[in-house]
Amino acid sequence: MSLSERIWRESALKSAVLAGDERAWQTLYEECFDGLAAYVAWRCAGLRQDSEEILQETWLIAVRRIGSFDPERGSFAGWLRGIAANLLRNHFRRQASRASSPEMLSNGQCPQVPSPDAVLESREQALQIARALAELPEHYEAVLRDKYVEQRSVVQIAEARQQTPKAIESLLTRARQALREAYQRMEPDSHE
Amino acid sequence: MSDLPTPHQDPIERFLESSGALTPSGHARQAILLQTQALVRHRRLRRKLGWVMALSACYLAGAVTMRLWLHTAISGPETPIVQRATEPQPALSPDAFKTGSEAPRRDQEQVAAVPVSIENDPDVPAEVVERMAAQSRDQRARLYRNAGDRYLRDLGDVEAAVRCYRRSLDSPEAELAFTAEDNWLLMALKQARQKEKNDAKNDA
Repeated sequence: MSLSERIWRESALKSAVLAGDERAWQTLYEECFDGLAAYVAWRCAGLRQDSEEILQETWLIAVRRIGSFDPERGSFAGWLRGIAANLLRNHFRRQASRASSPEMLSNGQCPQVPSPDAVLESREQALQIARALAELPEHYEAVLRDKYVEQRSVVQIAEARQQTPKAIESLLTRARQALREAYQRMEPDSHE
Repeated sequence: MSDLPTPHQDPIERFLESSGALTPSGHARQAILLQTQALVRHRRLRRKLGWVMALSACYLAGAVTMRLWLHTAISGPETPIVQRATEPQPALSPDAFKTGSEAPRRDQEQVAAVPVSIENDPDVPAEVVERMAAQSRDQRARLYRNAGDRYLRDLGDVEAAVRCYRRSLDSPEAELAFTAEDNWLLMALKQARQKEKNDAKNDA
C-alpha cells in the first residue's frame, strides 16, 4: 500500500470511528493488535500482567483520543506505539521508585505477590530488563525492535532506513551494549 | 579473560533471542475489543443526542420567535413600521441632462415614516390574521373581519370567510348595522344574524 493510500484509508477509518462506527474501529483494532501486543510484551520483557495492563490502557487511550491522530504524520500503528511507549516509561519508572522504597528493599520482594524464589528471580530479572528498555534512547529502542520484535534482517532494516547494513550492525551493537549497561545499572546492588 | 558474559549467562542476550516468541494472551484481545467498542458506541449515542438537542433548540427558538412576532403583530399600531416611500422620477426630466453640482442626487429619495400595522399589510396571509384574531381579546371582531375579507378577496375561500365573519359577529363589540365597507357575504350574514335576534325577541 502506498503512502497516500495509507493516509487516505486511515483518514477515512478515523472519521468513521469519530462518527461512532464500531466496524471501522474493529478494522483498525484487528490490523494493529498483534503488532502492538508483541511490542508491549517485548517492552515488558514478557511480564504478562504488566503487558496486558499497558496494552489495555493503550487501546483505551487510543479510542478516546483518536481525534488527535493525524494519518499524515505517521501510521496508526506508530501512533499506538507512541502511546504505549509513554505508558511503559511511566509504568516502569513508577515501579522503579516503588522498588527502591524501604518496604520493598527490606524483604526483597513485592508484598502483594508472594512467589517461590525461582519465579521471583526471573520476575525481578524481567522487571530489570523492562526498566532498562524504558531507559534506552529512542533510536536504540527502535533498531532493537526492528531486529528482535519484528524479526527483520539487517539488510531489511538498512533498506527501510536508507543506510548501509554495516551502519545498522554497528547501531545494533551499540544498542545492545546500551541495553546491557542500563540493565546493570538497574541491578539491586547498584542501588546501594 | 573477557569481561563480557557468555551468551547463555547474559540475561540480555537470552531476552533478545527470545523476543519474537513473546505473545499476548488470547482472551485479552476480545476483552479489550469489547471494552473499546463500547466507548465507540457511546460516542455515537452522544453524537445523536447532540443532534436531537440542537434540533430541539432550533424548534424552541423558532417557537419563541413566532410567539414574539405574533405578540408584536397584535400590538402593531404601537410600534409603527417605517416604510420607504419613493416618488417615481420622470423618465427624462430636464435635470437628467445636467452635470456636476447642478444635477440633483438620485439617492436623495424621500423617506417617510408611515405607520403600517400587520393587518393592513397586504402581504400578511389570511391564516396569520385569523390566528392573531384568535389570540386577541380587545380587537377580536375587527381582526376576524379582516381575515374574512382576505379569505374572500385573496383566496376566494368562501367557507373560511364565512367562518371568520361568523366569529367576528359573535364578538360582543360586533356591529350588525351595514357599513360602506361591508361586502355581500358579510351583509348577508349580518342580515341573518339580525333576523335571528328579532325572532328571538318576538319569541320571548
